[in-house]
Formats: sequence, C-alpha cells, structure tokens
Amino acid sequence: MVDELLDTCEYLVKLGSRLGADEIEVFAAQQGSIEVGLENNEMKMGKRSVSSAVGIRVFRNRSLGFASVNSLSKDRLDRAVRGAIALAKNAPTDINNGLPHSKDFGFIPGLFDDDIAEATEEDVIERAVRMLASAKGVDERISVDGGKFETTVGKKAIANSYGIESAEGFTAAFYDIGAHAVEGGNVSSVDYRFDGTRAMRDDSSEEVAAELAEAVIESLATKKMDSCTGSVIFSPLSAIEVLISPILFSIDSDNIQKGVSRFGDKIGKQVASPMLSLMDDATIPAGLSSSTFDREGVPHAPLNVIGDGVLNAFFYDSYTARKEGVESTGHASGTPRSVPSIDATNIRVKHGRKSLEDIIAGVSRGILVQRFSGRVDPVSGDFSGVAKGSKMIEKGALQGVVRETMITGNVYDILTRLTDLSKETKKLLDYQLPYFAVDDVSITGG
Amino acid sequence: MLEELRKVIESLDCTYADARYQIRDSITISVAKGELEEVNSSQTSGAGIRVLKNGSWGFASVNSPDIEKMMEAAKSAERIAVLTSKVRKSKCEGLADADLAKGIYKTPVRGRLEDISTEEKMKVVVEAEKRMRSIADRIVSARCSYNEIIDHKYFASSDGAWFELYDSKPEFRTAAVCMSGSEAVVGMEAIGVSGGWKDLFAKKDSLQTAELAARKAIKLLEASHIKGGRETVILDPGLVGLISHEAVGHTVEADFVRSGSVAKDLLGKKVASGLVTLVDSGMSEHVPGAAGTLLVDDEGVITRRVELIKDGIMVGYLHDRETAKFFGAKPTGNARAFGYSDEPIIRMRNTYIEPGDWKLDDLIKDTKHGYLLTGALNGEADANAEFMFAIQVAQEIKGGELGKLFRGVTISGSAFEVLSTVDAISREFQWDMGSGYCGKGQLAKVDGGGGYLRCKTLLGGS
Repeated sequence: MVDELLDTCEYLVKLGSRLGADEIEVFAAQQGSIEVGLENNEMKMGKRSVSSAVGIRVFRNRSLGFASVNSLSKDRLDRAVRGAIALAKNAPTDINNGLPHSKDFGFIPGLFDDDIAEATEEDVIERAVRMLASAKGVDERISVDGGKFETTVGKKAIANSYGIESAEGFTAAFYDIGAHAVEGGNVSSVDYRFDGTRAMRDDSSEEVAAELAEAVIESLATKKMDSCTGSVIFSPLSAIEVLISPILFSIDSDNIQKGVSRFGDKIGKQVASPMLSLMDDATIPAGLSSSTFDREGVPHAPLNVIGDGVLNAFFYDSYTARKEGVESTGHASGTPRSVPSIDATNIRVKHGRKSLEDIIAGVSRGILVQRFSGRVDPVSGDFSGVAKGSKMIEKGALQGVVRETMITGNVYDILTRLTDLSKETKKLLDYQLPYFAVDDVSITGG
Repeated sequence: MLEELRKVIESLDCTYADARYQIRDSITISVAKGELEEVNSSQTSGAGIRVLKNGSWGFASVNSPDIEKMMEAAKSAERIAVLTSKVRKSKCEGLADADLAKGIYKTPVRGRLEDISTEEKMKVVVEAEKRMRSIADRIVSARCSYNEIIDHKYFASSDGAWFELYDSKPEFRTAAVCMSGSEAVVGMEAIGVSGGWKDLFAKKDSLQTAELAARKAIKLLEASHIKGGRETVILDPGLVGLISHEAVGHTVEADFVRSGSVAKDLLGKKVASGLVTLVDSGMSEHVPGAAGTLLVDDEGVITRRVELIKDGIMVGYLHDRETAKFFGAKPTGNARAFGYSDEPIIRMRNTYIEPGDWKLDDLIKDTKHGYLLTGALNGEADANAEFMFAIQVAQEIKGGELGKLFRGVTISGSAFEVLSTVDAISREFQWDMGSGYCGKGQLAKVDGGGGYLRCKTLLGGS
C-alpha cells in the first residue's frame, strides 16, 4: 500500500515535468483514524474517518505554484498538477526557489505499531472508558468536560523531479482530557492534560487523566497572592509556551531572514544560562515527531541547537538554506495541504542537578506555574498572562493554588538568568523538559 | 448528490441519521518581506454521516462521492453508535422539533470571489505587503495574506430536512514589524467577512488596511509599558466581540452548560449591567457581511437571532437539537461542522452586544481617567467566565482627552463581573473579529462586535 502511494507520486512528477514544470514535488498522505470523545462525564460521539491528501509543488522559471486535493482520483490529481503549473505562470520569480536533491537516510525504529494499526472501534472505546474512569476515580468532585482518545494509522510518500522517492508508514495514539472540580457552589477553573504515543504499550492516558484530576481538586481551594517580585518555577507544560516556543521561533531561519528573530546574529554566542542545552532530534526511536525524511524528502539528523547556553544552530529548509548557501537541516514541515514551512521536531532540554523539591525549598517567595494562559511575543520576548492551576511558594514550601495571578517579563532576559533546571524531566508529546526556575519575576495578584 | 445522500440514510436502521456532502475550494496567498511564501489552491470534498441509535451517536467520514463508500462509512457510524450506547449512562432522548430547511440557500455576495483571478488576488497581497515596508525604514518586516473559503454543501436528514448551501468567506490580514534596537513591535490589521471581494474591502481597501497596520507599528514603538491595576476602560468593538464570544458565549453553549459551566444556574438571573443585551445570531445585524453568518446549520435547522443576555438578565443558551430537547428549548441553529470530516457541535456565529446611545467622542470626554483599548490580539477564557485577553494598543484618557500610548497590555477578570460594571455603550456598531477562527476541537468561522463599551477591569502589563 505504501508503494501504491509512492507510485502515484512518481506518476504525477512525470506528468508535471511533461506539462512544463521545471521542478515538481508531490507529497501524499493517507490515513485512517478512530476517535472516541469524552464530554460531560460520558462517552461522546465516536468517529471514524478515512482521508487522503496530495500536495503538488511546482516551480517554473523559479516561480512557485501549489495545489492540493484530498483525493487519489486520477482526474482530480491531473487537474491539480495543471492548476499548480498555471499558478506558477503568474507568480513572482524568486531565485531561491527550488527543490532538494536526493540523499541517503537510515531507518528509524518504532514508528509503526501493529497494536495501534489494528485497533478496532471497540478497543478505542475501551481506552476512552478507562481514561474517564481514571479521572473520576480520583475524587467524586471531578467533572470531566471533554477529551478524547484517538488512534491513527497512515502512510506518507514523497517524490520529486531530482529523484527523491521515499515512503513511510506510521501509527500514533493521542489523548487529552479537560476537567474541573465542583464542590457545592464552588467551581474550579478548567484544566487539561495531553500526551501521545507511537505504540499502544506506552499508552499513558490513565496516568494523564489521574494527574489532571488531582490538579483540579487542589485548585478548588484558591488563595489570593499579593503582588511581588519573586521566583517563578515553570512546569514543563508552561515552559513549552513561555520559554521554548520563543526559542523555536528565534532559531527558525525564516524568521531570522525576515529580521524578526532575536538570535539572528547570535551563533556562537551565549543566549542563555550555561545550564541550558537544547536538542532537536527527529531520529529518536518512536518519537512522536520522528520520521526518516522531512516534508521535502530531506533526511533528518539530530541538531544540537543550544549547548551550555551557547547558540549553535538554526532550523533550515531548502529555501532558507539556499538563501544563505548552507544545507537544509531537514526542518521542512507540514501536511500535503500546504507548502512546507519550518518547524521543530522532537525537542529535548538537558535536565539539571537539583530535584524539584530542592529547588522549591530554596524559594523564599514565588510561584510554581503549572499552566500559562496569556500572550508571549516571540519577537520581543515580552510575555504577560495568567498562571493557571499554579501554586504559591513561601519560605521553601508549596502553599495552595492561587487564582487570577499574572506573571510578566521577558523570555530572552529570563533565559540568561535561569537559576535552576530540575533533575526530573517530563515527556509531553514531542517535548522532554525539566522544570525551569528563575528569580525576580513580576507577579501581580488579582 | 441529494438523492445519493437520501439513499445512504435509507440504508440505515436507526433512530435518526443525517448526511452531508461538502465541496470546499480554498485559496491561500501569503507574502512576507517581498517573498511569495505561499500560493495554494486547494479542493477538499467528502461526506460526513451521523447516526443516532440506541440513544447514542456515531459519526464517520469518507473522502469520496462514491455511494458504496458513503454507505460503508454510514454502517461504521451505526456500529459506533451501538458500541458507545453500551457504555453511556445517559442517552440522547431524541431531538427537539425545529424549523427545518427545505431548499437552496446562498450567502449574499457582492463581487463573486470566483470572478477575481488568482493573479489579481496575488497582486493585491504583494502590493499591500510592499506598501507596509514603504511607510518607514523602521518597518523591518511585513506580512500580508489572503485566504478564501468557498463552500458548496448538500444535506439530507432522516426527518426530511434537506438543503444545498453556497457560502463564501474571504479574509485579508496584514502585519508590520518595527525594530528599535532590540525591541520589536508588531502592528496588525485584519478583515474577514461572509460575502465577496467587495464585501471584504467595503470598509477600507487593501492598501488602506496595510497602511493602518504599518502606522500602528510605528506608533506602538513610542508606546510605553503600563503598570497593572483595576482601571476604567473603553473597549473597542473587536474587544466587545471577543469578551462576548470567549468569556460569555462559550459558557452558554448548552453542551458546556450540561457539563456544569458557570451559566448552569444563571438563567433568569442578573449577570450584567442593565445596558447589556448580548446576542448570537446567524444573521448579520446592524452591519452586513459578518464572518460568522450562517443561514442554515449542519442539522438542517434554519438559524435565528438568540438573545443570551437581555437588559442584564441571562435569558438563553445556544442549542443543537439534542440539547434543545434536554432543556425544553427551541433549537437555535448553532450546530456547526467546519469540514466534511467534522461532526456538528454547538458553535457560535456572530456574537455581539447591542449598541447604545453614546457617541464615542462623548464617551471619551465623559471619562475622567481610563484607557481606550483597541485591537484584540488573542485570549482565553474558562468555563467559569474568567478571561485574559491581550490588547494591541491602550491609550490613556485623562480629563476626557486621549493621551499617552501603551503596549503589551492585557485585561483579565470574570466576564459577568466586568459586564456588571458597564455604564455606557456607544452607537458606533462594528463587526471586528471576522478574520479569526474559533477552535473547539474543530474550527469555525465566527464574528463578534458591538459599540464601544465602558467598564472596569484588571489591566496588566509588563
């Protein structure tokens, strides 16, 4: 079946070349999924879907044209190839346009799991039932608002006019759950958790549900926190949004070339505390963003982005790489539905030496931010938002959950002032992160 | 296609079923810093079939117009309904009667998008992006994009509803980035409507929009950061729409109400100032072209204007046919599915606060100290109506006069507490949320608006 999809790609590459495309790339994906939702403490509607998508990118006189269809029917695909070529006739020329050439790549284990591939509607319903029971089992005050358990089995294939021909099968299960707690007239904030896996044996949905339930029960009794300048410990979940996403924005070569990255001229320079080492690696066995090749058919390789606080590398796709006369790092990303864009794969931050408990013990006044709801401007680094489900820290001990407490600051400043990274790390989808601690952050009580 | 959909439904043994076939043509054009980042012409089509059996729902979708494949999907939906019915405690007790569609519906369009060539659309985007960068050297980067969704939908249900719907929703976005030393500031302007090319640029054309974004970025460069605190503010129509949608609207979606949202016990109670009448509507009241306009929903229910808060009292929820039955209410036409592979769920359409009598100028003059807040950036709100929104520009009002500019400002609070402090609403009604999407497991094109509204809220900054 993977071969059939690749055959379709190769056929369309030949067709486009014959019809006048100077360069053509066809990326196709086909997948089936089963999803069972949770809503209002119940099973929600179950869903099954069969889908496919083919994206055709052509260059003519270095001008771009792109078309996509969600069908493998020959008529519609032929029309899409012609449509993409017609768009390229009218588009502005860009000398950096072009497709990558073929390269060898290795095999990444763990991307396909028979248990997920063969899961039936009954199997998925059972896992959703267990996830719901796990949350409700923690405490009767838990009310599950929503969530889902979903399995996907699919394949993707890519071919281009420079001889790239690759295909790969994959599976994944994703689960998420949102809940609040109710005690009399007291309703807690809604919180949520999520994760996913490549293999059913690593399904952690019940643990995720129980962890959420414990957190929302704690957030029933909220305290008011007085405004102060204090220490902030970011959980892995809040760190993704506040600290990691601006870094990923700033090492994206597209943002650098557009002049909106703070890291444009910082290669070889200290951009963060020497504690911080960050890797991007799409070759991790069974990683949720692991894959042998990227959206353009370029092989993936591990990339040491920040080592001991020093910036080492940026993310490139073929276009941005050609502009600077460097090689693509294999960070072209996206679905067949649109042209490739640059994105991270599996992100890992090296853990620190102290345990979370010891880090908390060293805080005289501050907050452990569980989840962040607000704005992070990746260009300036300014962030401002509400710490959700977060706990006050006083004299080295965790106090209760605080309500309506805002934290504000600048990410790029904070990164250079990190005081600790925890020994413990947590996996969340394609991230593996420790807790991040920093002093002197503005905390505004509600 | 309607005949095929009816055959698919008839092949099932169930309480209720509906089938949709949707053909979506979309074009995306995106230019940044003089480079064409994307020109994408995409077609998506397929069928989504929903089945109610043994008090439980099943849904399946397939990317094919082939009747055999649609029947196969329908059987899968029926099987899922039966399987989930075994583990569900509460059952769907049936569907409320509704004004069911039987006919062909077309969103009003001025200047069909299909009649404007992709080349012309590309030119508009390229020139708008160029204009932003030409305004000042300090604008180091700019981005402009155009997106259109043209839907043609067929629908049939086992209780006799049927329709064909033609809908068209274009969007135009601009963003200009300024740098001053290491400080970067973004100015944004965006428009989104239901309608055609002329509707999209009815208020201001593409170049005017681009210039506004660029000038906003330059102005913001001079802006300072604000000190936090509880303040009197005047919200612009976009922010009024955002608070109505995010902080109030979601809490009154009947599926959330059933899950215990804060609105559960608020029906008939005073939740806002008597000046506030908050509405969600499938029509585009006051000003045409609101992006969330929907003539008939994805259960075949003809949409209507729904008052959620009337003169400060909560008076209604947003329903699909199942929740309407459960609450003993009339369906409101809020069951929406974004793509063929999405099942219909309760979504808002155009959500707004009815305008008042004030003129904005008088409202400013009447304010001793406060801030005029303009340009919603993003936001989040909880089931308990607590919200946090980021604002592009805050302008201080001192003794009735506009003064200093601030950026990096957020507002937060409980929507009902904030709406209870409303003491004036202006008559200048606008829709200003149409370039965005609402996410609830799937996307929905929505809009929001109102007049300028004065209230008190917690202002945050850095």
